[in-house]
Amino acid sequence: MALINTLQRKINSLWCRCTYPKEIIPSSNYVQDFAIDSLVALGHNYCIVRRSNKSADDTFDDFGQVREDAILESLRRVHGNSMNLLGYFKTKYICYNQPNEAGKNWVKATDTNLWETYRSHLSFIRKSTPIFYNLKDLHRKPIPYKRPLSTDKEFKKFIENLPIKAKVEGGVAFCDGISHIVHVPTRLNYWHIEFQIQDIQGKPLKKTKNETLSVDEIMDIDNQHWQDQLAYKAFIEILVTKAKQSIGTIFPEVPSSLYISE
Amino acid sequence: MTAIHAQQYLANQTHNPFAVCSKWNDAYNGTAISALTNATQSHAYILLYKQLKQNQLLKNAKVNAPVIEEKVKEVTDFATTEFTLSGIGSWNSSDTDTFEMSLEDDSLQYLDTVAFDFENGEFSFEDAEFSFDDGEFIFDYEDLLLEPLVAQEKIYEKPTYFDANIQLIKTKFDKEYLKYSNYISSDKEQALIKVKELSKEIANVKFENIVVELSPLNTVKFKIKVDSSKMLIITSPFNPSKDMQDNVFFSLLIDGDIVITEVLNLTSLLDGFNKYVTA
Repeated sequence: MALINTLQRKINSLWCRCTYPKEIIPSSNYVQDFAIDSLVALGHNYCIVRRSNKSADDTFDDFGQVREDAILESLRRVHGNSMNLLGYFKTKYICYNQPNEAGKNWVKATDTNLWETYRSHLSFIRKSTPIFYNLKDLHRKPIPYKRPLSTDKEFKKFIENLPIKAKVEGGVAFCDGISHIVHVPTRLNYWHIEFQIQDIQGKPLKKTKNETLSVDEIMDIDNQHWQDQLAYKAFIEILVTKAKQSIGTIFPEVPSSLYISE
Repeated sequence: MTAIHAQQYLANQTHNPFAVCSKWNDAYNGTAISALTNATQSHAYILLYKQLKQNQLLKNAKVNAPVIEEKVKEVTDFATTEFTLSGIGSWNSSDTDTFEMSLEDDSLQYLDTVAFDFENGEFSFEDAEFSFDDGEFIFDYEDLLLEPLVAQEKIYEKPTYFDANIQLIKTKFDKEYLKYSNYISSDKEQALIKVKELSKEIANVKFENIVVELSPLNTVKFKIKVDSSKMLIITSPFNPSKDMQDNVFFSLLIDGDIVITEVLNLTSLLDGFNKYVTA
């Protein structure tokens, strides 16, 4: 059995090496990353794909809506959720997984010989189902949450000094976080992006208090820890609600002026 | 093949009172399979709902086939003695080529579960046989014992939307339960009772379609598509705290956006919601 497993791993690895779309590997003449806002400003309908490691049946319901259990592993993984920008990245590429060193962020200044160095880390995932999003559905979307002023002096000062006063009731501030799509190229995939969340102060969401919430906590979500509120609401109101089973087949490509360095 | 087409087909099959028809090509396209059956002294009408995804039938096909379901329709015009069995059958896929189907009669009693071996093209339902033959789906149920629901020649009322809804919810839940019963971490029997109670209330809503989903959080979720733009999502815990006993968590989506999320008593929610959609 061990021999068969080893053989299967070898074949999988060989298959990846032979078929991996090398055109998505970062090139030395690419910029380190580009601002998604610049892309949005172009006005095209850019699309995003994310891999579910489950079958289509276990990923989507009969309405074509994503099942929560297909994308929820932990609230802690809502911020930084991995995705890919469609265009040069094709939907079929989701079956290539870049774990470990191959999936680490690309550092243009120091990372060289990417293919030769990291190709051995690639793996092929047969059971891959694409989950699609429109970029505009995920980028810069407000996420309401409540946070007690007493939790942090700096936060209290920030709220008190806002030019447009935030609503405060019973020592609790009504805030809006915001979702962002951020371009985070990895060593073997330049078109890797992340779904990130910022709080009202513009700080990236730190680790949530809990990994998951109980039903009772969800039913009383507004009174949970503010970071849990942000992550859960971003998950439900954005990642789940805006997911699509299909989105078309032709996607605009990122103009070279954005990603080729001068 | 629609139920109407199936009726016409059956009307032409006078030589074979046991004919059941459907086209596999339709199945490949993801449409529901309608199966009409005609019994010797009464005629039974079984509409088999089928939720087939193309990849389950044809491995190389695309996976995103739409799921189409047809409502049960009564057939009364081509039998000497009349009795109607309105049934809902569902096909549930597994990773193999074996499909399972369950049939229910009008009174929601569970009849049996059948397994269909796709590769061999055989289907067994007690003593009944299904065969898969060159584009046609033949159902020979000579030995299938279906008890007439009512006496002959009685005129039956068509099921109200409540009946149809409750059957549909049960079918959807059964399918979900087969796959995800492990998500129920509390007492399973209590959970089933809870679903039944919820179903009775939710069936009062006029809706186009519904999805029932179990979640790892030990909840059941009803996604109710009211019309092309509105969807009501009701989540109920199987093991709620005392404060939440009769409450559910709901969201209303309009054109894909969540417009309201709240915790409310289910009866109050549905009362209000029915008024809202009929206003």
